[in-house]
Amino acid sequence: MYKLVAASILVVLPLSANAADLSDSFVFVEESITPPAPYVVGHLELSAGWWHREQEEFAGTVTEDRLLLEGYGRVNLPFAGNWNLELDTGVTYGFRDSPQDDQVHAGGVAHLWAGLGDVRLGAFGGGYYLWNASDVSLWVAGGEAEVDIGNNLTVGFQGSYSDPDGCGSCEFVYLTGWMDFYPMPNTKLGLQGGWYDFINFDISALEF
Amino acid sequence: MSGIAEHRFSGTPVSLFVKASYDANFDQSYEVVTVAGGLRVFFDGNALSLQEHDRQVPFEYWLPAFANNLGL
Repeated sequence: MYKLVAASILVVLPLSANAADLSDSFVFVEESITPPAPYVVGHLELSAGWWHREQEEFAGTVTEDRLLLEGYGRVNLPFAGNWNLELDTGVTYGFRDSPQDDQVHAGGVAHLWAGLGDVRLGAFGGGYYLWNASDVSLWVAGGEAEVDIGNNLTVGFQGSYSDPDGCGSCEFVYLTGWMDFYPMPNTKLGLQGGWYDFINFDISALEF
Repeated sequence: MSGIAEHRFSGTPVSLFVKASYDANFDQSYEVVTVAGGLRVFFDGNALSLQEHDRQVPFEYWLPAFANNLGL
């Protein structure tokens, strides 16, 4: 904005024959200074979509479609220099044929993280509750990191250990990574991939 | 894997996004596909771009799709 004001003055000055004429010659430029962001920032995220599952079972392939509604809220609280506490909570509701069979999971995690220049390092922990045919509560803890590469790209990684109750020995680890590309500051194109493994089951799976 | 495209309308607290995901195990005996669209409402005084906001609220945890089947 200062450059614009200075440019206006430079244009106006040669037109002024003397100092007395200057007041008539100035062009008033309305300053539009963006106020600083609040100390605590956050967002609400709402989405609706379609969920499709195909699973091979003894009786054949089971196919299932659901309407999916999600609502998430996240807020970041900076404290003590570069340290931050981000609260991340939400609910996902999957509608099935019978309302009593609807699948819902709700919960949240807290991310404790530090900003070190272009790098963000954190640890998180929390819990979710899954309402379905057999209710399951699940605790999760893990670590995470994100780094900005240049002006347009952010890459990140997250690893976690989850200990569900109510489904036997089904603890699992989950590793995921992501790339967010910002062709413009207000536009994001993101990709994410992940891998999980049940610790006590002979089951491993890859998310392509 | 999953993908998302999101755009925040400049000077407003709102963005719109579409996202899709595909999850499967090694032998593809279990596959889940999701497609969804939605919006985000930002509480940052409209002072940040989408990129700046994502750097200030950087982390998310999503339950993996297979978690929906735990206990079934």
